[in-house]
Amino acid sequence: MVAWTDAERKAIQDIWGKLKPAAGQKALIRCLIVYPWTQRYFSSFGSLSDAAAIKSNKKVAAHGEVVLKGLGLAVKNMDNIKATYAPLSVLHSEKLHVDPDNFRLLGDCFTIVVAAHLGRAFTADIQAAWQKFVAVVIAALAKQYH
Amino acid sequence: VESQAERSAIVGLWEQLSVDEIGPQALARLLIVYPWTQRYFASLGDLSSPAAIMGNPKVATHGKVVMGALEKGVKNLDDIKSTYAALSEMHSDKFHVDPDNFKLLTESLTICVAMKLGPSVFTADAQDAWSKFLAVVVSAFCEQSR
Repeated sequence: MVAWTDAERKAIQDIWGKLKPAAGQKALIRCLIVYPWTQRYFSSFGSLSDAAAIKSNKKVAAHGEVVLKGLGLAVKNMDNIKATYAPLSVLHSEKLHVDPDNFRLLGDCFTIVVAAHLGRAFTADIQAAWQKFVAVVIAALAKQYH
Repeated sequence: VESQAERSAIVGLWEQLSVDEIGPQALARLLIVYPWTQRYFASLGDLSSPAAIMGNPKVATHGKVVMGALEKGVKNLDDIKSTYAALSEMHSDKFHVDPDNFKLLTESLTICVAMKLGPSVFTADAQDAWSKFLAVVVSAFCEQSR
């Protein structure tokens, strides 16, 4: 089980409270643009042919919200992320066949969205807590792969 | 090889950054968020806590050195490999740096850039160009490591 300090818990809850509803969409857009091979998992989304298409794609926006809700589950269940994510992990491995390396890429894009949004408020300690949280989420998502 | 638009984006981003400001921040965050990287910086003195790292003048000085070196890459986008040949050799033969750590430093730097510039300047397209530039730099540094 992951041990969280009080400071880490507070940092994660604070960040979560400051994130706008579009944060998931923003992270997903960055992922699809900066790491274009990730587009292969979204062939049902219609046009991802260039940055403009990705940014205006409604399915990307909708899926960004889905991803953000998923992240919210981890924020609300920090002491039990592994169990909370077991079904999501099975979904991503057995149905969607996502290479787990891609979780890290999306996680990095989330970190950049958070950093850009918070500016100087994204202190080194808060960054460390956030990256630890993202690492735990990624590990939980990759857990059910075999 | 970056496109003209990407080159302009990289140069444009760089112009909005201060080497003296961002270098120390990026290095301090690397040492705080990825503490094992401290092993390469025994000569920098007290790295015993985030506060010590943030207040350490040697960390600040070295951060400026690193960013100054990155500036050479921005000014020589056509020939990054030869720009960094000597530095690459030094990092592998003299410092024995595990090449994975170059990526951690560039991630740290990207977060500082996102914080400084905010989401409307460090857009997805800007992140894309920036990320490609850093990937070429990292690749040049890994070149001599084999």
